[in-house]
Amino acid sequence: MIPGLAVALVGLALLRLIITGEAAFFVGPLVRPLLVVTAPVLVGMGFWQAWDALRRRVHVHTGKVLALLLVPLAIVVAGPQPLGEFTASRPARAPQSPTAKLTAQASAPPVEVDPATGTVHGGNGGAEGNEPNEFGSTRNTAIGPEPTSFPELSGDPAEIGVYDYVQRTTGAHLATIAGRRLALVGFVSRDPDHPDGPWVIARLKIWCCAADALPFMVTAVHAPAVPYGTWVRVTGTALPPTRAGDAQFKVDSVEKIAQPEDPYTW
Amino acid sequence: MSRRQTTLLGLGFVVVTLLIALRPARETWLSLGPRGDAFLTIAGAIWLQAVPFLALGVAVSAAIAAFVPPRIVARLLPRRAAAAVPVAGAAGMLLPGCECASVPTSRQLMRSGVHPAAALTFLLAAPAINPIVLVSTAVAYAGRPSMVWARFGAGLLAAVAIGLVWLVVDRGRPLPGTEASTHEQTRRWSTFRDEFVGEFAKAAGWLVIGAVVAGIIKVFLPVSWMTVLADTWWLQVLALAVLAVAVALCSEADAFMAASLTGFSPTAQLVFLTVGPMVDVKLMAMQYGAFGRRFVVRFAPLTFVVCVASGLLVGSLLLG
Repeated sequence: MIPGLAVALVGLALLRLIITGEAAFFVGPLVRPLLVVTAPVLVGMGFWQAWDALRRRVHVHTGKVLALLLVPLAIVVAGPQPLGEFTASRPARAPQSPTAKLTAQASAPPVEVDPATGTVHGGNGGAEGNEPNEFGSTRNTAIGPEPTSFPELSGDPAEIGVYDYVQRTTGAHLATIAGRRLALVGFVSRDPDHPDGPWVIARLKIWCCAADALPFMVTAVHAPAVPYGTWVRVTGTALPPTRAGDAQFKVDSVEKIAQPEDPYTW
Repeated sequence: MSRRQTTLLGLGFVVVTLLIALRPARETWLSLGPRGDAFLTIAGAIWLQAVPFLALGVAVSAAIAAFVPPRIVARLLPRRAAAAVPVAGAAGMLLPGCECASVPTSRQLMRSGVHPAAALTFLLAAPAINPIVLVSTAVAYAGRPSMVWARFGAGLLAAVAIGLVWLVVDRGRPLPGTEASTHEQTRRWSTFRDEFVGEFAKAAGWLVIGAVVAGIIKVFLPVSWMTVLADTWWLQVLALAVLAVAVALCSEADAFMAASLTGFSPTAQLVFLTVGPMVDVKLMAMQYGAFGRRFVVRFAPLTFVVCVASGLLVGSLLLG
């Protein structure tokens, strides 16, 4: 009877996660439908077994390991927090070249964008500096297939995902957004390469679950100070990446927002 | 039900209710800090993403136990164990789950009379070479299809090789916990239900240990220290093999992590993709629960060594 009730309790906890939307803090959009299917099965099987065990006095033996189920149950009901600044600002890998320190800068130099032509002047990047990782950046660049077309941007400013922005600017697609007013949504994080440098707009990308989260980030150029971990909507214009291949963004305004329902991108 | 079980259940309800009631205080005096929160989320996430796959594996194994007579299961594979091992390896393509699904399934195969070496080959092959895993690898390594073939080849090779080695060392001795089931064949649905509930509760419980260990490793051990020593090729391979054991990623998502490790050679990435589905901390915890300690201390090192060797061999042939 007890194993049945425990399994039903796991199913109920899953249902709770789905209904509150907090399942999105743990798993990606591919696993969430699987949870929706699994939860009622666990609740049904669990209560059925418990009821039958009570009636017929037959037992399923599981031993003490059953007690361990309390740990995940406690985690998922106790106000879970999505991964954020702590995960994003940890260096994922050591600089791949000792020259990394040489290119490190306290803050990005001033950058001007010509509104008429969309060309960018200044900065420490440029068309010829577009070679990720060669100069020792440890930031993630785009992973997976390079898209043949990018999603249409609409509105002014146009909403663009952090991953999409990184992909366009550190790939060779800057022209698709140059000169346009853009809005990025993410949380404020330290740059893992330059913890004392300018803050970055970060977003974690997950595939299966939060354990495989990889951070993607864009350096905020000319931005006011904001506490780390704050969710923000940043409006501004595109910049070419730094010579180290790091995406950066010319910030016009920063607006604090609530944490999005789905804190990760995919 | 025993008094201890009742106490446990009561305790469980009290803890869960208290935690829900105390949620407003979570961010102030119940806070564990950013590292603690990251640990809870990662451990919870590993456990949670495994639950649907675990339920699938348990449902398959309970269905075999309840509805398929052992003699029919035995007829699916060649009678000779040495021939059954490669067939079981190829059959791994049929279970579209990750490693959590394959532990209960292969245990049930043993209980239905399948040779342990063949069932273990299936256990290893299924999470490494099933179609979902291969498709996700192809997506992560877009433009480099050779990695998909290399993963398939290295995974199948390692699974079959380990099965054959096991055949020789263990000579078909049954593993603990795989005694033939003694259910009456008349009450099929209640057999299915009891098997499902019992196996799910146990496997999900053992999985907790693996998820907690992987979570601790993830938040306390910076990955960056591994890359510092990775200038020599064999250190690169060893570092990623150990990383695969430590982070316990689902085999359906590990290709994305591997593809992001751009500082490492393709062969080292292949070793990561070969080791991960077959031996990691959460699998070791689940195998401990299913087959006992003596099994894990022999099987895990064997699997690790053979997977690294297989990854190196296939990597040098296909990836250069």
